[in-house]
Parts: sequence; structure tokens; C-alpha cells
Amino acid sequence: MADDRATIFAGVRHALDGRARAPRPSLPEQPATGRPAPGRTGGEAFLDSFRKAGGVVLDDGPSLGRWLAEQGEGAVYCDPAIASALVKPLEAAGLPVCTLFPRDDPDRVFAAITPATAAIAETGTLVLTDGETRDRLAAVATWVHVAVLDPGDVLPGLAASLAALPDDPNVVYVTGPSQTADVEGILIRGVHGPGVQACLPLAWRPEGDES
Amino acid sequence: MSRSGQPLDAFAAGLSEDVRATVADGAAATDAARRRAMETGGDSLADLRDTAAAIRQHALDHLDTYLAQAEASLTRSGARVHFAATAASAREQVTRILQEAGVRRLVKSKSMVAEEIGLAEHLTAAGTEVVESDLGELVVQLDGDRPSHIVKPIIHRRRDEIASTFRDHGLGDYDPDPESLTRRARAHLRRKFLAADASISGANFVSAESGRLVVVTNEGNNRFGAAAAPLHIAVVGIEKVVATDRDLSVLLALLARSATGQAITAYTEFMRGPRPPGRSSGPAAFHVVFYDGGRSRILGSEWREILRCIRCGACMNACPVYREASGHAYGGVYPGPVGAVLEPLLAADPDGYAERAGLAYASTLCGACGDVCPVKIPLPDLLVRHRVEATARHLDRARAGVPGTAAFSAVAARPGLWRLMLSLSGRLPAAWVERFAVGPLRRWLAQRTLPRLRGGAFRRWLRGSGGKDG
Repeated sequence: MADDRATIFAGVRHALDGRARAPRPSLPEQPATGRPAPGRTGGEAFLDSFRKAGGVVLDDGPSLGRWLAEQGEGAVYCDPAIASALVKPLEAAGLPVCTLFPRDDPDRVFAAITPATAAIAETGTLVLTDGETRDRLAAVATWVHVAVLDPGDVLPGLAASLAALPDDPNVVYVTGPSQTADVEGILIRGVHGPGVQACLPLAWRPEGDES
Repeated sequence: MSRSGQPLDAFAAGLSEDVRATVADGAAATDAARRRAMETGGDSLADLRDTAAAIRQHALDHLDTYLAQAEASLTRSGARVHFAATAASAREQVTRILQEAGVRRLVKSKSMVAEEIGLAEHLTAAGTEVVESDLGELVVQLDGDRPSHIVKPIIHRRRDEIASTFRDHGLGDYDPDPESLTRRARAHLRRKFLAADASISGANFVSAESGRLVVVTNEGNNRFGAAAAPLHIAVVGIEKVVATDRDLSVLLALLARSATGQAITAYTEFMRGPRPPGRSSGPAAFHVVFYDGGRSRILGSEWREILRCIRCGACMNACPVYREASGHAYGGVYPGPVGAVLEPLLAADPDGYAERAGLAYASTLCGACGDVCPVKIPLPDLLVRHRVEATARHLDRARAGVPGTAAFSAVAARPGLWRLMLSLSGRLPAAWVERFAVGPLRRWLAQRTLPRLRGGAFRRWLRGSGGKDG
């Protein structure tokens, strides 16, 4: 309410009136820990941290199909932007593919494949956005989620990522599977979101290799 | 009824050994995980606490500017921004938004502000189906219980009790296996998420620069809620605002480590408006309600540092009183040291202050809470300020059952007498002190175990070391 707004701002200004105000601190370049081990590239460092966070790294389309076929039964949702490259290997593995998430019958689909906008090496985090995720429900409601990542989009740390967040109404950092320790502190994966979080790096090429 | 007369003591005295042990073990394990996570970072993480404190203090000291900036940024992103000065106003505004959208069913992720204003109870009474989507909060809701920890709401519950709760509410046969319990909650809540007309959350931080609300979860319940429902409302305390997105890198690095010992939570979500065109999931309408509820008053008080709090729960995990008494003993929304400071301040009237100021006496002032706080809130000092205030205002109710300190003060103010008492104490078994104590001290000691009295051993060691650290 308009009155509430005026009341709150008047209260805040009154509280701060005449008080010394703390200056803005300078921020460290890379505040948190987990810098890549010596000799590891940003992409390799990301995969190390991603595995440590409980993620599964896949090699290529055919191995994705074979691996998914072992994970569950039913259809696989594939984001329309990347479907053309993946339909063939998925169908070769006997998996029906859909590009429209069946909201009315979500359990028909056990896995979703969507593009990642970026990744963070420090924490093993995948960055998903509305801009590149056609249906955010598919990426959270399935048991298995596979994020397709361009290795060129790996950022070194949280600070670098937060300094350049995409202009998007919804950005989510996903670090490993959905999990809880609410029951007696015991870690269980797959509460509401995926119990299995995977990453398919696109055409991996070692850094510095220009061939 | 407690023999000592302090309400927190009374509660602790009636606590079953099972609950006491469950809370103590859970809090100690989380504290150990926090310590490991912080130690892995070495000095850089320890130094980061100073930066985090400065980020929060700067934002609070310029809250007039940053709150207005956050409002403008959110509005630019298509969010509808509301302000609520009081709990009643916040409830009324949320209710109106829901009614105008014809919402009958909603899912809610964890929000301390929602707890403060009694939002779920209010909406339920008004006929809206409100489903708590955090696993712990769901158990508490089904049981008609209350959360006993701000991060781990069911830290006081054992798996067999949760299994009984699920059985009693139609979530399957009795099965206390934590994995089975989690799968049942998943199946139950999926239906609720997909049927919900709205989702409600709080926010851990708000960036003034971009308007982004940060919501962290491990379960992904907010992600699911805000993917499936067409309307989202975030209810946020005005003190959650920080200046820039970049500030969040420092705060997020400390939040998860302090709360659960993780480097980052599984889901860290940045939300600032409705879904973009061409997307079928995500809220088409996005509302933010900024709630004051006494915060602007606290900002002008000598307890203002408490507003730096990032709700990690580290202070309660480290607190020996919390571990022995459980969160419910504090009788409010915020337990532990942060609750003992904040609860009296959130009370809107002097009577409420008097009623809750006694919490400040339920502390040993051991300093553990201040040592672990990621934003360096001087919690022990703030507790002492409540005691000073209670004494100055002659709040007898707050001081009920607390032994006077006149004799202690008399001894402590005379160095010679202090040394004599110290040396005597070394020859006096603690059990004798407990046996021969009289009056309020006797009642107070009835529920406490004195440490072994060492007769000034520390002073002798200090003299021997020349006052230098080991």
C-alpha cells in the first residue's frame, strides 16, 4: 500500500538520520575457495568439481543414449534448440523423444535434456536460464536432468559469474542433484528436483588446441 | 514448572531425553560440518567474514537508497512491488493478490518472514490450500508442530516419528527409511506443485542493482514451485537488500558453508520478474512484498547489527543453550542466540519486549555464537545490551529466576578479593558450591552443572607465558 511505503521509507530515513554510514568495502577478486588444481584448465576444473558435487559427466551423444537407457523407463524430453543433434542417438538407444513437456502426465518422461547457459569451475555449478531453457519445468520435474554445455562457457568462479549474470528473469545455479538432510541429517538425493544430474560437454577440445 | 523460574529453563526441564539428544547431536554435527567447510578455505574464508559484515553493514546504512533502487530494478523487470509496514498489512496484501488471481491452492517454500507474520495459518483460515514444500516444513505442517531451527525445521524429530506422521496423513504405510520418506514426499508434493495456482517464497538476499531475489534451497522446491505455478509472490524483509550482484559472491560463499557445510547449495535461484514471452512454464505474474515489521525501528536502535543476519543458523548450532534446550524453548519464530536478540526487538509493544527480553538471560555469554557468525554480528554484546535495558527499565518479568549479580560484582571490582576467591575456589569442589548455594542461585544451579573450578590456573599460566600466545 502507498501509505505503507511512505511509512517504511520515513522510518528507515529517521533511523539513519545523522548517523555515520559505513563505506562500501572493496571486494576480493575471487572470494571463495576451490581454485583449479595446477595444470587443470577451466573446463577440466569444472568437471572435477561437478563430479565432486555428485554430477555425472557423459562423453558424447551415443554414450548419452546408452547411459540414459540404463537410468529409467519412459520418454526423454529434449529442448527443441538441441533436439536435432540428439534425437538420433536417443532413438538408437530405444528411447522415445518429445520436445514438448507433458505437464498433464509428467511421469511419462523420466529424463530431460536442456542447454546450460554457462558453468562455474570453482563450485561445479551449471547455470540455467529462461533464455536458453524452453521449459524450466522439464529441467526440474524429471528424475534425470542432462545439461548440454559448451566448454567455452565455463567461468572460473562465483565472483566472475555473478559479475556477469545474464539479463534474464530467472537464472538458476544447479550444483549436483536435488538433496535433503532434513531427516536426522542423512543425505538423500532426489527430493523434488532430479535425483541424477548429468552434464554433456559439447565436442570437448583441450584449451590451446586450435586444430 | 521450573524451579529456576526462567521460561526457557522450564521448557528444557520438561524436554524428553530423546528430543534433547536428537537436537544436540544434529546441531553439533552441523556445527562440525561448518567448521570443516570454513577450515578448507583457510585464512581467505576467515577474512571473508569481515568483508561480508562490511557488505551487509554498508547496505543497511544506505537502506533508504538501496531499497528504492531494488524497487525500481524489480519494477523495470516487470515485477509488481508492494510494501507492508506491519504483519497485518502483509497478510492483507498477499491475500488480496491471491484473491484477485482467483488462487485456491498454493505451494510455499521456506520463508522466515512468512513464519513471522503467520502467513500460512492466515491463508489457510481464509480457505486457501497452503502446502509447505520443504520436506521438513511439510512434516511440521502435517503434525501441527512448529519449526525448531531456521534451517533444519525438524532437527528435533526422529525418522520413526516422521514415518508415523506420513502414515497418519495417507502418505503410505509406516516406513522409517529416510529414502522411502523422501520418495513419498516427492510423490505427494509433485501433485501439489502441478496443481498449484501460486507459489510463495521468501528471499535470502535482494540485489538493489539488478532487483534479483536470491532464493537458496537444496531440495529444489522453490525451483519447482516457481516453474509450475502461474503466479509467484516473494515476501521479503526490507533488510535483505544488498548493493550489487557482485556482493552476493561473498555472501553466498559464506551462507551455505555456515548453514550446512556446503560450498554452495544445490539450487541458488536468481528471480526478478515474470517469465519471458514464448515460455510455457514460470510465473506470468511476479510480486514482491517488502516487509518492515519493526526492522526500521531496529535499524535506529543499539541492536542494529542484528539486521546483518543472513539466517544461516550457525549461532544456534554452536550454542550450548540451544543444544540442551531445543529451538522450541525460545517460544518464538527465531530460536538460539539470534532469536534471543531479535525476538524482543520484533515485539511491537513494550509489553512484548518485557515478555521476550528474558531470553537474553538464557545465555552463558560463552561467545561461541559471535565466533561463528559469518557476518560478525557481536551477538554476546547484543545480549548484554538487552540485559542492561531490562535492568534500566526494571523489567522484573524478564529477570525472573535470574540470580542477582551484586555479590559477584562486589568481588569482581576488587582485584585482591578476586584473587583470594579464585585461589579458594580451587580447593572447593563444585558440588559444594551447588550444595551450599541459597536462594535464587540455588534454584538457578539446580539445572546447571558448574565447570571444575581451577583456582586461578589460567592466570598462573598467563603469567608464566609472559602474556604471549602459546
